Amino acid sequence: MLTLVGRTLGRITMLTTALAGLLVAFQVAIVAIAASLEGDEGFTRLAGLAPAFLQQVLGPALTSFAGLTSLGFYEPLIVLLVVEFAIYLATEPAGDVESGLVDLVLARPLPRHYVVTRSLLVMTAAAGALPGVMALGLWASLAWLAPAGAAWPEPRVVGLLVAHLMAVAWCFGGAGLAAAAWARRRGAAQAAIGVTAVAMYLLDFVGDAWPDAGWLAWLSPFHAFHGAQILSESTHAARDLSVLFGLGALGVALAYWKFQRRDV
Amino acid sequence: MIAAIRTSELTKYYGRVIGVEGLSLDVAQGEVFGFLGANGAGKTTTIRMLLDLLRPTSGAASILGFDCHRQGLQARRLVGYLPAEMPMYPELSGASYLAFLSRLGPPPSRAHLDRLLRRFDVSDLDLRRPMRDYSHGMKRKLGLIQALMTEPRVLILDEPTSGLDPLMIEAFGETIDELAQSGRTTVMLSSHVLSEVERVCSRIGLIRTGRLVAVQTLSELRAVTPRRLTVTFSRPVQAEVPSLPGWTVVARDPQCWVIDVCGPIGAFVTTLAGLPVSDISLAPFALEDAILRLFGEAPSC
Repeated sequence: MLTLVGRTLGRITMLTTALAGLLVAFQVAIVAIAASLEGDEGFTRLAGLAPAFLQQVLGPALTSFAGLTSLGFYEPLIVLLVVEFAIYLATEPAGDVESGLVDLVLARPLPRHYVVTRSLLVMTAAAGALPGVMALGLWASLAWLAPAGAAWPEPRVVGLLVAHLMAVAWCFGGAGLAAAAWARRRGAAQAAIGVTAVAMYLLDFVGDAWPDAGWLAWLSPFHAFHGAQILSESTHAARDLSVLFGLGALGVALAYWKFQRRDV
Repeated sequence: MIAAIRTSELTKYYGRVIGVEGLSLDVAQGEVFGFLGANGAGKTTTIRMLLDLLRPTSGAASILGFDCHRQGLQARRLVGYLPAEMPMYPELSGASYLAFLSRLGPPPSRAHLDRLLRRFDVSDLDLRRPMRDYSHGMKRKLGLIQALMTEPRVLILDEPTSGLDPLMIEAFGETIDELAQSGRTTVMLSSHVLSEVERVCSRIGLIRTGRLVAVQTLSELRAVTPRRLTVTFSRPVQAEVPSLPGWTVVARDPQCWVIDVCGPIGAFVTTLAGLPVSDISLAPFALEDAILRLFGEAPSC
């Protein structure tokens, strides 16, 4: 198992490092922007400029130094980037089938589920590591750039944001793993779940922004990850995390069930 | 003795398409078995079911007594496999690739691996290069080495010499000969290169549209496959061509007879005494003719 995990890690090291660097750079940039707005009522003016729907989505991010510096953990592009990366990693079994590498690996005395377990471990590690690296980047940026007297985000709140980002990435990673257990082409599995993730994000956004379609938001896993509510501590973290990890676990279970039975 | 490879009514349907149907086959331990058939006949499907990569629709397969599905781990521990298309990690060097596969087990002995590298003329420099730079033949050599390096009891090779140069084909032949002599390893090879099959195999199985058409030893095939005999005379002769069972006169000319013959030709040669024979030529056994005959596309004896 370690050999398979090591091989995959070897293949994704550069990509993961580049992505982690991008996420840390975003944290540095957002802290630098927040530092420039701190004082002179910069946040009040920023909140006044933002349209109502943006204020609703971003919540306290626009009104305080602590809020803005936490934005990275729930900013749509960052969230989707982390989610899509988890999906990419989770769909490796389909890539192995497509390239024929599964023939070489499973012709050796290895249980079939190793291929799924390998991708599950790598996806879980990445889903955990990227938000973790972002948190480290945030604290390092704060120590470097935060003006004296600025109120830093609460570690507990940052911890919750990190946990939710991990959970939503793992949730879609689980779905990616399930799709990969069915698919013969990695691109097909990745596109199906990748597009679904974006659609789910939009569904949640529409449901939240349009009261008449509020029920739509309940169909989306992103409904269990509202950064603005986490910042204002008006969310039920245990329930939301359970939903996200539960959905991910369902995908993982389906992946094991199907891959064990399929022709590779 | 337990068969090295056994399939019982092995069947695989891809939806409504027949992959393999009712295939029952025994390959004895120590045998070198050629598995032949046209593209899409079901050779690779059968091989992939033996490795539990495909699940049969019905029937069963076993390797040295271990069911390929229910006891797949034990079965695959005994197998070395070369797929028809050699998959690779392009960023890995040849050495890293072999090391990766060695770690997946069973571990090869260093001495045996070195011997294989020498035999297939793979240098340290080759092993240090990334696989993306390898030629098709080089990838094939590495594929053969990875299949052979664990000294498997059963070796399953799908198109083993595709892309190899004549020297490497000879090295491959020598390797299979050694394995056959040792009697320890059973070889099942699928190939379109009939000369290679004829060179290394003791028995062949023919598969056509998913069904096993024939299983025969090469000596049985030799005995029943007609060969072309041409007798040339220095001057016209009026004698009749002797009639022998299973013989077919293809052409009769006063100065040349062309006959498809089966079995020994000694009796025929004696009938030529007194005739002005200037030349006799007998075409060697050709596996291709034998296979065409088995497929019903050529006359038999």
